[in-house]
Amino acid sequence: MLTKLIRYDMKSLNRFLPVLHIFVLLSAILIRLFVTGRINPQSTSKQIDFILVLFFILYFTIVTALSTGTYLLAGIRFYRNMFTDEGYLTKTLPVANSTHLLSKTIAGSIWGTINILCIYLCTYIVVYTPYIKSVVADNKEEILMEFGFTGKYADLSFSTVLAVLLFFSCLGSISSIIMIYASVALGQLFSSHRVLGAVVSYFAISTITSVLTLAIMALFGHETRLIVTAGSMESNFNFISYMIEVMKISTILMAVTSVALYSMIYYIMDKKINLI
Amino acid sequence: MNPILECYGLTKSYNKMYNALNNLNLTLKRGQIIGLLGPNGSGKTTFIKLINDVLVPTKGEVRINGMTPGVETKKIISYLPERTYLDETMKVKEIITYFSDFYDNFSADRAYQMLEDLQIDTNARLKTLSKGTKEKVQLILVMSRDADLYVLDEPIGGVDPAARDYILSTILNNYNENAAILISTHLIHDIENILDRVLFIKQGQLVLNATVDEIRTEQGKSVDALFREVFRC
Repeated sequence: MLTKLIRYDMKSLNRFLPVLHIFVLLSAILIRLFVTGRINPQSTSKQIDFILVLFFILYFTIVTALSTGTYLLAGIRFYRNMFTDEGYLTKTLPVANSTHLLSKTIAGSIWGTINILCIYLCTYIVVYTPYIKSVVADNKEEILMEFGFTGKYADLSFSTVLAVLLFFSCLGSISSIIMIYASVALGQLFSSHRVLGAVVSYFAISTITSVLTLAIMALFGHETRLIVTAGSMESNFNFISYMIEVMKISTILMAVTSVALYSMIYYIMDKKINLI
Repeated sequence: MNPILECYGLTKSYNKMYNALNNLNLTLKRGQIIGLLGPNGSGKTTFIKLINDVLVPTKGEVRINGMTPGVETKKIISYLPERTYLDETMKVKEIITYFSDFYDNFSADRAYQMLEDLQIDTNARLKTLSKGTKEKVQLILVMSRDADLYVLDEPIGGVDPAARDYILSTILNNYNENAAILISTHLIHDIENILDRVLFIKQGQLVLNATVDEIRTEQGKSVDALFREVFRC
């Protein structure tokens, strides 16, 4: 049953998301072909700088819209399929609520991960022009040193860094999807204006998790370290080491928050949902 | 054989002041078509939703074939809600596949036959169909299952009288003596002839549970006439 549910959930998401992602990919290719790829590094024209900044803002906007759109569509699918009229069919299929939730989480996370991979690819296309490539090749040692790939981190391969980034991104996608589903589920507890309730819940959950993250980071002394370091130019500061520590804490926090929210969604779906 | 439906002290409150269903006790056996009748807001749809596990009872319990509502009861209940519950972007034939995928007791052949009888294009997307045709598609899907309990909430409310006859004959043809059909409707006159038993619900409470024959012989009235008398405004 789980496989069948995932198939239908994916089919529903596949109606819009591939088109959105192909559009962004094409935009990245066009920006690379007509803007970033044509920049003359020797030029000192302020007009070119302005155009470049403009296109980077445009690119950033497109990418943000893509991410928002992806998670929003997954959230809308969850809401429509479980809590609107369609819910009368979904809820009466001979399938456990836990299976419904798992299916939707898997389908949403797959698209969340595709979304992040697409953003990585687009950024690579837009930024990694032949000029940037040559600058990186010519100054590789210096750049690696600057980022802190020294000492025990000197032997870190590109594939290891990429694998860690991908793992973190996948976890981030799952966590984001669960947070959106949790907001939708919490919204259903309101007696009316349930969509508004879901939006309010999303901001409430985001705020609470952000505050918690900041507090825990501060507890471990990580939140203030970068600011202090930037001010005093601390000589032994290692960016990679700092980022690894931050990622470790973030991973644990994301995992704990996601498990808690997932359990809450299941509880609401199983014990509290009243289709009206 | 287990009764198909049992309710013990079944209560549903939407807020502290009002019980949509109040301490309902009921046992229904298989092999009968039961009319669930009552005015608007009497608790019929709430009762149906509780049977189908789309609402959680405030108190009491409902049992289907001896089981509390869950995955196992959903395998044996075929439910037609009062609203369009299908994904309107799907084609009719895709919906047939969907039902075949999830319900082991769904007969796609029977569904295609009924769609052909009613001249419904299986390649049409649901959103292109009229409200009445959508209701017919839903009823066909529900009646194409070999269920133990069919729960139909206003099955004939939105269709024309000609289609009503077809729908009622479909209900009769597809039902067997091991199953029971619970029909909620306002159109008592139209379905009276196919009913074996009626339940009258008033303000969330059961006020009558009798066979149609008992009503006719003991009270000398049709169900429609008795309904008008009991629920006179």
